[in-house]
Amino acid sequence: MLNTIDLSLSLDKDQYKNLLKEYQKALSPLVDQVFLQERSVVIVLEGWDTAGKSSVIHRIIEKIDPHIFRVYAINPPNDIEKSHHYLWRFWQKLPEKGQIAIFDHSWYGRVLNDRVEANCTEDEWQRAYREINSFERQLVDFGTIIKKFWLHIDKQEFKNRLEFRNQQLESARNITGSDWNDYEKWDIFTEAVNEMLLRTNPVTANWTIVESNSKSYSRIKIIKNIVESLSQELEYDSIINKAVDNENKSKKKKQK
Amino acid sequence: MLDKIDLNQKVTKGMYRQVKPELYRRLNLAQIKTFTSNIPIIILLEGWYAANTGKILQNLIEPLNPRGFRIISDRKISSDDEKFPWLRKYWLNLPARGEWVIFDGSWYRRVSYERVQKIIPEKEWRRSYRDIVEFERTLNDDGYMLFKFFFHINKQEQKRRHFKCLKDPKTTKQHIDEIWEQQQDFDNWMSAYTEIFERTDTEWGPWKIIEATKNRFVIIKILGEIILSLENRLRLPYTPLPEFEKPLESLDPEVDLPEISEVKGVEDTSKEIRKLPPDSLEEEMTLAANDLIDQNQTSSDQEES
Repeated sequence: MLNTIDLSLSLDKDQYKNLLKEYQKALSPLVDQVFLQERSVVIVLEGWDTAGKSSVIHRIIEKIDPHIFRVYAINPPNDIEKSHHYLWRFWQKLPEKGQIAIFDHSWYGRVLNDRVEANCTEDEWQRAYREINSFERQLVDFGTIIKKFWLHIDKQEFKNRLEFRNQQLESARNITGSDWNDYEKWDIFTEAVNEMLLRTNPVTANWTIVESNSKSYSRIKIIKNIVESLSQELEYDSIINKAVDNENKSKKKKQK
Repeated sequence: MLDKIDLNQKVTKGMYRQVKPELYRRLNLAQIKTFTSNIPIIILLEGWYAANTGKILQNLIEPLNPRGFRIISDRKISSDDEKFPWLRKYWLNLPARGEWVIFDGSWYRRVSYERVQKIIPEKEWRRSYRDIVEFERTLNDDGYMLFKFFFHINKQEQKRRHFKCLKDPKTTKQHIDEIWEQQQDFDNWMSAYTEIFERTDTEWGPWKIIEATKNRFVIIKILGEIILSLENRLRLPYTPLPEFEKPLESLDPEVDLPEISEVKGVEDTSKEIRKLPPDSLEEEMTLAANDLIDQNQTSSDQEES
């Protein structure tokens, strides 16, 4: 599944700036609609470390009402969380009606990291697919809009970025051993990702694979996807048309 | 399904006195063992109004270490819960490993109370069965032990208890109204419960329907059920429960039970403090008289057996 992705897609700087501005403008009233219509939204960002998850989150929340969203960075479970079912801590973090929750890593850790690092038995991660599907179906039944993104980069790019980050000594997010672990286990990890994308992909909560070798392209793709699906779900699309028009215009400009 | 149950099973007072301490001892031991082996336990108490769930609960928790269990009552639902998917409030109250949680009223409220009272549309409670079954399967897979008890009384008995509650100053008006409402709507509730048993009686979450007309019988029965399954799960050697259904010839508690005063050298006050739950209305009426004349009581016991 992941082999067939064209990772060379990219955007030039001007195009990126214009599109980002437009989509951020379009997103803001949509988020207000989420609040007014009392829907809830769950955005799941999964991907290789250094694929650009947090920078995407930064772009998403830049222009929207700060009361309406929460961002959760998911770390390994603490003692209390360990003594419960793995989904327990995510039930606690669900957004209430009219709220948006953005998950940087999520319950898919069970079928990715836990599986690869052998933190759970095979039975446990095998049945996790069913449990996750059931969990997400309950959210959809309740009226939650679920968007799931897999940010993909290739192995060479992953290595480059890790090395680049290693040099930035003052960065708050220095590289730890676990990141290199993922790199060394690239093949096993890819297998786990492929299986996850296949088995947890219902129509109502499907995965979007984002080609992230070019950061600008991946950011635009994610925000665009969120804007489009929100406007479709909330039946509120006056501004999205403008954004799409502008995109067409800029394409035309480029052609000229 | 429910009409084929023999509701007149009972346990005599002497038997009850004889059997209960042994059951309590084993239940307490099982609780300690579940704590040390990290097994989370969930007990659901469901039943008709006026099935005396409160009294049963009281008797159930008596031998338990209070640090090891929690009681979650579903009678009060906060308005915040409507802002989330419906199973969330139960998920958050799940026990940690080694802990016991007793749900007095549970997630079956959705497909019984909220269905009958028409609080939610049919489409929503219809799909709740699947949520429930998958939820319970998830718990079972994760090592949780789930007991689902349903306390069954029939319509006439509920009506009788309703009138009894009317005379009882301890019963709140709200509870009396609840009973009466259910009494009026008994058939609807019956079909809701029947559907529950048809759809959610699974391999990983079997229902235990308990004949709840006689209090002493219920208490002995659920203690036995819990103890046997726990000991099985804890891989303890099987020991049969003390017999209580067939009354024995030598059924004299005064003889069989060792007197506390003999053992510890203290004054025996247990008889005065421990009052047995009344087994039926007639018995409660005569209870006052029985207290006064001790001899009368023992003779009536012998007649029963």
